[in-house]
Amino acid sequence: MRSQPSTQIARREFCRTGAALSAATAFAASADKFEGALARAERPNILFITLDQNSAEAMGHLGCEHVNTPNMDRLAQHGVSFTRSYSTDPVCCPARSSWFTGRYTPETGVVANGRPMATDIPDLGQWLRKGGYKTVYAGKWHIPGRKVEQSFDYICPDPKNTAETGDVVTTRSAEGFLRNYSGDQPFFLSVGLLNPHDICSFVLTHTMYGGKMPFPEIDDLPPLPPNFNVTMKEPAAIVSKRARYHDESGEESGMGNWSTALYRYYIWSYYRYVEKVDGLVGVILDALAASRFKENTVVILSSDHGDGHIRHKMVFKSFLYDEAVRVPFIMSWPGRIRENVIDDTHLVSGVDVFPTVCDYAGVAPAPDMRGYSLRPVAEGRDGEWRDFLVAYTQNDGRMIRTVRHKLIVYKDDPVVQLFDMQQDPWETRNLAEDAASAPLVASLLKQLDDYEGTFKKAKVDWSAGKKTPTSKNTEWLAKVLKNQPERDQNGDGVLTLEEFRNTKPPGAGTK
Amino acid sequence: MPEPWEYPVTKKVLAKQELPSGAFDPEGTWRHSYDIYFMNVRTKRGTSAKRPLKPAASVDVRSGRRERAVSVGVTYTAQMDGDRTVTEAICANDTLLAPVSWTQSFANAAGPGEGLVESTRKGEVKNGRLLINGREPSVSWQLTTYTADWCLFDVVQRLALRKDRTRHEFDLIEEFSILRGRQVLLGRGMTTVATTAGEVEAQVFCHFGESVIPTLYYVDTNNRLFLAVSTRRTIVLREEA
Repeated sequence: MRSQPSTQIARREFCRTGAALSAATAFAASADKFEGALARAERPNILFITLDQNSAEAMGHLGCEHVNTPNMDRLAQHGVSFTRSYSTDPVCCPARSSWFTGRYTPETGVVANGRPMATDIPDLGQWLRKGGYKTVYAGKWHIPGRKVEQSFDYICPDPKNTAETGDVVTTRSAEGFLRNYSGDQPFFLSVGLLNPHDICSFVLTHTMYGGKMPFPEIDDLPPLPPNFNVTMKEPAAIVSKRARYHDESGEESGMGNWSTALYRYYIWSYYRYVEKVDGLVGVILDALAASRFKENTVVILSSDHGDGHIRHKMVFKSFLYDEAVRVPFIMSWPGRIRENVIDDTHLVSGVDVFPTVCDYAGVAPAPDMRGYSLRPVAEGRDGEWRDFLVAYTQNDGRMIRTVRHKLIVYKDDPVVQLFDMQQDPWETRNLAEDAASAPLVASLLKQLDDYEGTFKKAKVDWSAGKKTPTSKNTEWLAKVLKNQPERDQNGDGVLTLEEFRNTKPPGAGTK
Repeated sequence: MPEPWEYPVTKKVLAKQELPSGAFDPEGTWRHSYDIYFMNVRTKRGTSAKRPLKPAASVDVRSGRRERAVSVGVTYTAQMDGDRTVTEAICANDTLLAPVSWTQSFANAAGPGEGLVESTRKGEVKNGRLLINGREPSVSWQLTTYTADWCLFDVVQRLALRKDRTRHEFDLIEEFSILRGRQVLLGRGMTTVATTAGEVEAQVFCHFGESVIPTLYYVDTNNRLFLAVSTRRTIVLREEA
């Protein structure tokens, strides 16, 4: 939904950049030798605004015509918006653990929501506080095992899944801090906004409508995405996740009878939540602009993960298609960071937040970090940059993204996915189904394994009360079998993922 | 098709909450206190039934006639932990009660940010331009037909009084701070809502637009707003004065 042309930024007004920079080899500079680090006296304030469940695509300046995000757009207009920015693990706790440690989730130990973070890894709050910063936190934190108040001055509580009103309190607290802070120390203010996470209530609250769109008054529903109908081979974890949402077992959320209009209405609603949080971003940016910190504050905005918003017929997160794993990443500091730039060259990861912030703060980064400072890129200085990044999901799925390709592989699943992200950005053709792609698949898999081999992995004890993705699938397949015994092809009383994949529910395709 | 008041959480709230009833003058002086309940975010069926039902937030809306204007006051506690936003507004006495000037103060007394995060601001609409503390927000435009979200609690009662079910298009000052375009408010006709006191006849108004998922306002036959529902929130009248 768009309005008020005076606030819009046309895509063509942005210049594109980065093509001249080499993407050939991994960034090799030693992490503790940042060139051009600012003298302590010049250290800027740093404002880190985090969103929850905001897909990279869901911003006006990146071409989405169905959402109005004037505030994220103007931040991008006064800075750099990285389009190839990826969550390390597209669900709340894991992604957040990477932001605040600079490490991938097998190292932080937060491999799923609720898993505690390894105690021996410093977080950004502790690190900057030691480096002379006033560290302040407002809103959603959600990193189990690490108490936010031990690392930050915690000025506003976690809204706990009530974004529609909680985000207002978080924003007003941040606004109040920017107005009232009178100290001499530079600050690192992290503002954890929760929307568009409120979309998570959509599915359950719409089960009662029998698949129909309940608000015919709304006449500007976005179209279905071009990858709505999935015909390629997918890993069982994805197939079963989609099937669970679509209620093939009769136990879960019941999207199975959704009409086309209701799917489109989900997308419409998602964009309204994006607009909701964009407005609050605007309040914070305006408060900064009205404060004494206006000239000397670096702003970074990102999201922990995206949302399916019906792409690949998926909702929510915890999978590795771009709609869930690709996130906004905008940096702004007028006069220092380049302005009006959409960077669609550099691969950016959530692990880059920590070293980037340290670079601007003039603080040596913590040991063993996996990320790189984006400062040279943001400021337009040539240099080498990584040529791949990785991401994880649910301690089960892994992804490697190179400049051109993306490989997704799940534990104990023979179905691997390979996409050419230049030719097929909607991820509709699984090139791994073609035998000719085998060498590339093997090469990427080796690259992923080799890189992961350098990790100092945290010990993850899945037996401590949490269900594993595998056990979740087993339980769910038992429920499917109970309602649809005909899908047990070999009649052994157990429905396997392979049998599930090879069969359809009774009546499928007749809706 | 079911009505939004039939969401499981909303039905449960209505089944336990006693609603004020009897004569009511929306154009007089009144105060309504509402409890705000949040919808379950889980995807599994049945989980909401196991959770204790308690309000997560509250809002107190006050209204009174002035000579040519209406005063609207809003006290809003978003997290029930000591945060408090108080807005006192003077609105034009027009169909949508367009806010003309207001003060807004925020405090989070129970939070560790006590003293650090408190703030007060003045808002006004001057020559059609929104000003917050004398500055125009970065995202701003000329306002003609507009209101504020909390003013709608008053507006729908006045529309019900006049049996006005037409489509109103306007801009919105969300939380008395943020401009939102392309707003629509329209009457959806009459319905019947099951409450502790039995079935209540209600006029229904639907509001949606930029940043706003459809929100249904239910106004009883005495023109009293007793329920507002979206897929995210159930706001139910607790007390009237």
